[in-house]
Amino acid sequence: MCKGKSEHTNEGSASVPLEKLTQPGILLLLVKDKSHGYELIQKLNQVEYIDGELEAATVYRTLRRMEQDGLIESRWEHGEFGPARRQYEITDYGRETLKHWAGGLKSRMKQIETFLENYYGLMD
Amino acid sequence: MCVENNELKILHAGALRKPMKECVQMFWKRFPDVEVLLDYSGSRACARSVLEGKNADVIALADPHVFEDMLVPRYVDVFFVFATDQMVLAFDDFSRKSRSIDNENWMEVLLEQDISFARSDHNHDPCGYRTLMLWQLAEKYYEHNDLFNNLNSKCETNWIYPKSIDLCEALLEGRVDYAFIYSSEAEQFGFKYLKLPNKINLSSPAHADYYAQVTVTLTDSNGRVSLVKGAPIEFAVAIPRTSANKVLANEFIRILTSSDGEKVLESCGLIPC
Repeated sequence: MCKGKSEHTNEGSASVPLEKLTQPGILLLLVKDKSHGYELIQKLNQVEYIDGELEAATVYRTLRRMEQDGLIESRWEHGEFGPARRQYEITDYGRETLKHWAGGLKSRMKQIETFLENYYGLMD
Repeated sequence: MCVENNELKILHAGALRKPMKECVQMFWKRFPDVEVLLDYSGSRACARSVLEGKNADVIALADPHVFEDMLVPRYVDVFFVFATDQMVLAFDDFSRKSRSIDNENWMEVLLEQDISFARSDHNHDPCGYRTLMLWQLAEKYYEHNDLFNNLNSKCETNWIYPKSIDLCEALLEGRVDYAFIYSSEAEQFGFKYLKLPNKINLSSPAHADYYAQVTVTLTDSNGRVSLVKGAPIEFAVAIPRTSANKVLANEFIRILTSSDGEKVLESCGLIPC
């Protein structure tokens, strides 16, 4: 399913902003396993590639926007008794978008490495 | 056996008053002939009324723990967690020291002699026990010895209201200077408020372990004592087993959790989840 393209996904690799890794971070976690917002917030705040604390409200809003964009899907998950929570799953379009994110980040990493090589070459 | 009829009884936490009313308006667009009866109270008071025989088709509460503690499995099987929020310290332009209070000095301001502040009753309303949790967490977070005891002993009985929505009225009428309420209520009433650090405002699952360090003891009208542990704020909704109109109750919950329902929750300051 492909409802639309997100702002930072299939565009040029150099446009990947390193500080905005919430969306690919969510996709990466959902590639491993289905999860609900509560758990994703806990995991996102433990990963090293996200700086600072992510507000719960930001993550919940991002999840809703990603679902509208067709990157993820949700359904209510519950047992016989107790709480039901919206459980999120990555879509094929989400996997494709994550692949583009990874490609973009790899190109950016090369640019940064080249920059640092040049810088230290001049300074050393 | 459930008898279907053309009436939907919704029992909800006072803090959900505005979003519930707006979702009923959306419900009426699809089911204009259904009579909807809204009744509200503190969440624990809502649950207690169900235990005492009150009929409802939909129960929406300010804490999933209330379902687990009081209604599951006898009255409710499953409850849907649909929104989150955070605790704030609300005030208005006429609150004493409103121009100088900030994130650094709010504790000292509240403890000044001429300042009044309110909370809701922890035995009836989750906002009340969440306030007591916030004070305990603030004591740890700011390393402010005796903060909890000082705030708790100053917050006199006549500044303790049955439910959080009552605090909004008290603040509006100038009966108190400050009130510990949900961010959504402060937004709905147009109050100013201090956004407190995430480690104490009960907003984030990322701090669930930190919140769980504090507990509050609750006592019901029969003297039954229970312990509630600090946890991120969540709101939940359920259809009780005794609902006389499960079809319409399901339709209402479908609207509440739809993208249009989520827009209503957002417009009321809640975070759909």
